[in-house]
Amino acid sequence: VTARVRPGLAAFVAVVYLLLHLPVAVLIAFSFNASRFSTAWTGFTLDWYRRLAEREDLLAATGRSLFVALSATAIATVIGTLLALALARHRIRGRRAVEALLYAPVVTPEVVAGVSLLMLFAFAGIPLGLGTVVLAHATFCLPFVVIVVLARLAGMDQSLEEAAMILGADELATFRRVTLPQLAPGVLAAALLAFTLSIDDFVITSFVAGPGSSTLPMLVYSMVRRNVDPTVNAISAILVVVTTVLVLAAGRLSPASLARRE
Amino acid sequence: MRPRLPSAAGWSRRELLRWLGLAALAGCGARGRPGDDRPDRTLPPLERELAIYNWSDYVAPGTIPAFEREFGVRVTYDVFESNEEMLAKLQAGARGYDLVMAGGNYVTPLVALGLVARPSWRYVPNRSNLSPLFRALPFDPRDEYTLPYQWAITGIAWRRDRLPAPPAGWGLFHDRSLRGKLTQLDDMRDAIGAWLRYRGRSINATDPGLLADARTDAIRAKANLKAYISSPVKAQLVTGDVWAAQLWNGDATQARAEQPAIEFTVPAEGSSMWLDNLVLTSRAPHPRAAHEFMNYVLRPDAGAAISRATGYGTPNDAALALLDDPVRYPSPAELARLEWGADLGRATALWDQIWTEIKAA
Repeated sequence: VTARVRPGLAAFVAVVYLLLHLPVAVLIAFSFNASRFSTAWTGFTLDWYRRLAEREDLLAATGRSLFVALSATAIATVIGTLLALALARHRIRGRRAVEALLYAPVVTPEVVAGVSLLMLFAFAGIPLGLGTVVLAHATFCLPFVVIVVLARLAGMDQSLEEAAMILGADELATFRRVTLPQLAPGVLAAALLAFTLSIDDFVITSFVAGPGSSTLPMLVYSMVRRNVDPTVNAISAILVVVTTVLVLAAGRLSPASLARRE
Repeated sequence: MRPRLPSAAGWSRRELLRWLGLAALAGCGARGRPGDDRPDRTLPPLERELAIYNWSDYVAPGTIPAFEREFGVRVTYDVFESNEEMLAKLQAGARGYDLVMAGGNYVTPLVALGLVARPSWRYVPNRSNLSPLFRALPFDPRDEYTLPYQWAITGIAWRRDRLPAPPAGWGLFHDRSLRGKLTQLDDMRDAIGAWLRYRGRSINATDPGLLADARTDAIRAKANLKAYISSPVKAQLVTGDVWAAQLWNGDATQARAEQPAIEFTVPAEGSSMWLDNLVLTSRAPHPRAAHEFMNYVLRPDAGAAISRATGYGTPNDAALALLDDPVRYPSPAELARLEWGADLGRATALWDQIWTEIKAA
């Protein structure tokens, strides 16, 4: 059902979108600006992107960010999917409480999450480093994975699984051949969401990073504090493009959009 | 992108970090008690690795690779974005860093918390290159802990072609005819420190009455300010959107490279000077490599390269001689008007409160 959009509403939406995206558009535009100081346009250049390629620290930090995001995504997706399945398919005592506890980290301010993780690691005597960053990222991604997978599970027809069981498939075979293929888009969407959350996290990372684990957002933050150089714009532009592509991909694979297509 | 969530009761991350630091100081026991830090101790043979915790871009592009090649040491270089973050991280028990960059104001808490050790200076013979100006400073009176790295003066950077006359002093920021063309540093110590000096007081004042005066003066100036903004104001000075900015001389030098009409003045009433220092962490896993690195950055060519890259002043006499357009040491007349920042101790909370009031006014 499509309704005619009132012109006033369209204008309002346009303004909202402009305000949302203008800063990013300006940031990207100035990554092509010839001036070292980024407020005056002095001509088009690709120098900052070229300089980016020469900066080993930025490349190393990007590598670390990718490693952390991939590892955290893998951990959070596996555990989160299993957790969602358990919550959706089994009668668990205190299920409500478990779900409530899952949502708590979603609304906890990052500062608080960062401090508590840091204190936990310090208390447990775990040396800070890439390992603690991966653990922290997996932790804050986990609830988002569970929420997305649960949403997909809610829209899935359970009778297929029941039919498979009746036809003699054991639980494992049912899971592998019936449940998982149906669930896959939800799992993939959750993984993409986790990846995008992890790749640009700064606050929590800055608390739990140790020697040899400065991620790209940390480096960008430190660079901006000292000097705003258009290489920061260039790396930010790349980051924006990559995360946008991933978010769009996640959107296309989300249960809601799949349901629309079916 | 991670959804923006409400912050805990409006606390910024930095405030929280500072608070954590204070809390730890208050309940300070023997936290990271250094092992053997006798200043004449013998160090183990050179390790294969070294971990540095520093601001980003605070070495020359070639500094680390050249050190790695010459000494066969693999360097990990990690970054922080504020001194508070650095302090909170070390104090939360982050192990594994060997050398850390510490602003002068942060040396006292680092020492008090037992987070830094005394280097064995006989492994750092190039210390003799350091200018006497940067020795025996208030935060390390016997030069036991710190290796001076880069320094700066807080003053006024201004456009010769826009201001009717050179700024006489901090009173410039009360000039209503310049409304909207002025900025002050977005830094509590510098922004309030200026108004303490304005009335001839110390930038390290802790007396509530003196700070209340500074607050009044600061709020009066705020009406004329375009913003509280630090290093990024360079861009606006270059374009002429800002005519005069409270700024560090290193940044002023960088801006002048793009816009020759930019001048830097140390206000008549005086101002502050600051120094970043390399410090050795207690329980540094690679003490020998750390000492070699300290000695390395004090070589004339290495020191000069660092200052060329950062734009800040080198405390290294031998390096200064190699620079074409160096940030000069302050003249004796300027030096008489400059003051070193010191740790505020308990008064930090009062300063925080006054700074919040100024920004909210």
